Amino acid sequence: MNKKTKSFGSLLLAVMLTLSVLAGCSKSNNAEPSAASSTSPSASPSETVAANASEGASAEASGLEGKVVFWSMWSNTEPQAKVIDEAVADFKSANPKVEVEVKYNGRDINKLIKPALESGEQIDIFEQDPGAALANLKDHVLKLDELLDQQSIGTDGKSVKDSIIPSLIEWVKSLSAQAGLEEGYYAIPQQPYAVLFFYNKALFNKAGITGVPTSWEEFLAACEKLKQAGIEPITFDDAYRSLFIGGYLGSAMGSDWTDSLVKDKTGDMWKDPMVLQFANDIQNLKQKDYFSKKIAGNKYPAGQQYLALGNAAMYLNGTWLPNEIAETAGPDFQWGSFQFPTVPNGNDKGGQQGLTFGAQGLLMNKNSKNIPAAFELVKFLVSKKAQEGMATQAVAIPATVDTKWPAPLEEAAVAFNNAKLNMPWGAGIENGADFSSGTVIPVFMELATGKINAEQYVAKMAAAAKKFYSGK
Amino acid sequence: MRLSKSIIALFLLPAVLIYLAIFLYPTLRTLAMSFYDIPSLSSKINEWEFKGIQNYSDLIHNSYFIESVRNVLGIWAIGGVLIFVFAFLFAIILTSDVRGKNFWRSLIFLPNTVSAVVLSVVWLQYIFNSDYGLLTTVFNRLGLTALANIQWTDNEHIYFSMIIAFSFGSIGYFMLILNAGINRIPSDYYEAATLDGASVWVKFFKITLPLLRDVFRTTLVLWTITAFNFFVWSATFGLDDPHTVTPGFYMYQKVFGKGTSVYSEEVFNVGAGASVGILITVAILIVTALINRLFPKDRLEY
Repeated sequence: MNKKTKSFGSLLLAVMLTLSVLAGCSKSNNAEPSAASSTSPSASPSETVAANASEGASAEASGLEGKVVFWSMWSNTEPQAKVIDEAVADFKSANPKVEVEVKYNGRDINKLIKPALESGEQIDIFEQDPGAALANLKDHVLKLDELLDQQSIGTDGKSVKDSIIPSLIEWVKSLSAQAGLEEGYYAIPQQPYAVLFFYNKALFNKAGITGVPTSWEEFLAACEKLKQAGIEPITFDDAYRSLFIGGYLGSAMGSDWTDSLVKDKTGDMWKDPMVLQFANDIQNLKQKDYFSKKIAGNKYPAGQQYLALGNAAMYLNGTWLPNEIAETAGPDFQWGSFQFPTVPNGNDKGGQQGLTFGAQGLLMNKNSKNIPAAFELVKFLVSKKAQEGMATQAVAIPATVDTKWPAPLEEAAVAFNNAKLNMPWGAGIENGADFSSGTVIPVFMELATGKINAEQYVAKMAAAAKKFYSGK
Repeated sequence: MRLSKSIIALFLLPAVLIYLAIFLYPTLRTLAMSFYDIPSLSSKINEWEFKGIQNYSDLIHNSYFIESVRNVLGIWAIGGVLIFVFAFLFAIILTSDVRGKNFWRSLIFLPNTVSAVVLSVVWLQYIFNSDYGLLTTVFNRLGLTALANIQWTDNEHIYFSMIIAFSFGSIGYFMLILNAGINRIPSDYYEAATLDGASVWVKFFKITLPLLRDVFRTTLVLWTITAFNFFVWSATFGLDDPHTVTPGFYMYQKVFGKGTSVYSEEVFNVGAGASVGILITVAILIVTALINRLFPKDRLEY
């Protein structure tokens, strides 16, 4: 055979291999700096001066020194990291003697934080979902009650505690008892989120829908108008299938009921008239083509892209959605949101008072050697300026009171005001572990795509629940 | 020169120690863990709760896990046939006098150099997508609307879509091994057969296949190990969908959590994950033994 082809072939192979190796490297290269970004980029001198002036850096704080390590749940490419960098820069100009190390873990922090804390690594501040953190890390969290009385930064003399949205800080307090800790505040909520229907206002206007639907009847009417206008009303992705089941059942019966439904060992709860009503309503949505046909095969994020491109009108998701698909949706996309509509014949434990909401939290290590400096940094992170930054740069809901919410999420405030009860993710429909992922969600998809009807759904679920739990 | 036994032992020692430390110890520890209920990977041993064979009997009674076993056996069988048919085909074509064979070989091997996560995203979002995916667009162009309207990632199709996508990327690897094996067979046999007027098929079945038995056995064992540890594609294609879940991914869910919804209540049991790991190991050992039984070592090998 001819030598040229051979050498060309091997050259090509070599190039490909090198490329793949390089690709591998570049990935780890991206990860490395984020893991090791020990110091945040310092602000330019003019910014520092401005920050100093505007914050009116407290004189007593500048006496702080030592080193503070902050583990963040964001990765350094996310907009939140930029806001944190700015807050840290402000902190450093006010407290030049304190050395700050920010480690941007991304969501890997959920796996890394416990071993790191247990091995005694220096971590003074870390970000976690407060519920999960108090349950898993209760030996490591610092009670913040006294620290929270300190004056906050940028909110006209309010204490840190009073500067945070009351329902959120009280929710965090309620978590302490559940985790078996002495009652108190162990986390400062940040980045609150709620699960809501997000909709495209332009499409709603085009279909002639004036107000957001609050009852199931109004919801169906809105779907009909959208369909008449040639718009697909509802879509969702595989990753969020459970939200729709939980949204309906949680709105009807509350999340405790839903939780016991998926854990019911006899299967009899699935014969409850509410399950049949749910199945009939889902069948109705399917038969009237209110569901986008794509829901059967939507792989995250295909469905939300479909929404962003203006093909479908509604998508049930967390308040992070507008930020997540901002690039596809573009700056002119008009966002609206509303709570899952109230379902009739419920038991009054659901409805608009229940909401799946929560927040990320800033927590402190009980064994921190430098609590005063660390808390001072926390104050900068939840300062009005930083929270405004989160709202404008990361389309996140600010945790501080009297801070303007980002425009795409303005309507979400209604839900936060209605909410009295915090419901778990999917109103507890995923609490059945393997039964939820192996049966509840796939059988719902059979119903939603018209493979089985409502009666078959009830019978199938009751039998499957009984069978699943019979071995336990 | 004769070495005394103690010298041999001394030279073997580092390798043996490393083997014991990085293979045997984790295996034995996993075996021990599989008998306990362990709430988190970093739990101390005094937080472990002894359960006997409870983890194993739970698994056997768990329809979700049983489904995952069925899935992985299907992947092993269907994917195996797909991969070996094409790997053999390509290997034989490439050992014949085809032009630019090094180029083709590199091309077929190329998917192996791309991360599985990237490949699966490409398949899911750019090939199987029902809006702008490759399949939908091509079928629409050809006027085959019935085919274009199939949602390749819905409950009915996702399992086979996943096997096809995975097999596509794996053919090159096995092709390369078979190709090397075929190249080692002396060309005299083929020349003699050609002189006797044997066709391509006869040469394949009478010369190549029998003389390749050893190599084939090795690739079959490699495939079994790969298939039984099927993990990444299951995670990216189905999340925790029972249509695509495999024991490998089920084990991950038990040890590290599903990770799809950070905010849901999750029950971790690292012990259950460990018992899945043990079951996978045992299954691989059994199947490998069976394969060795079916393909005994040949006297003639190249």
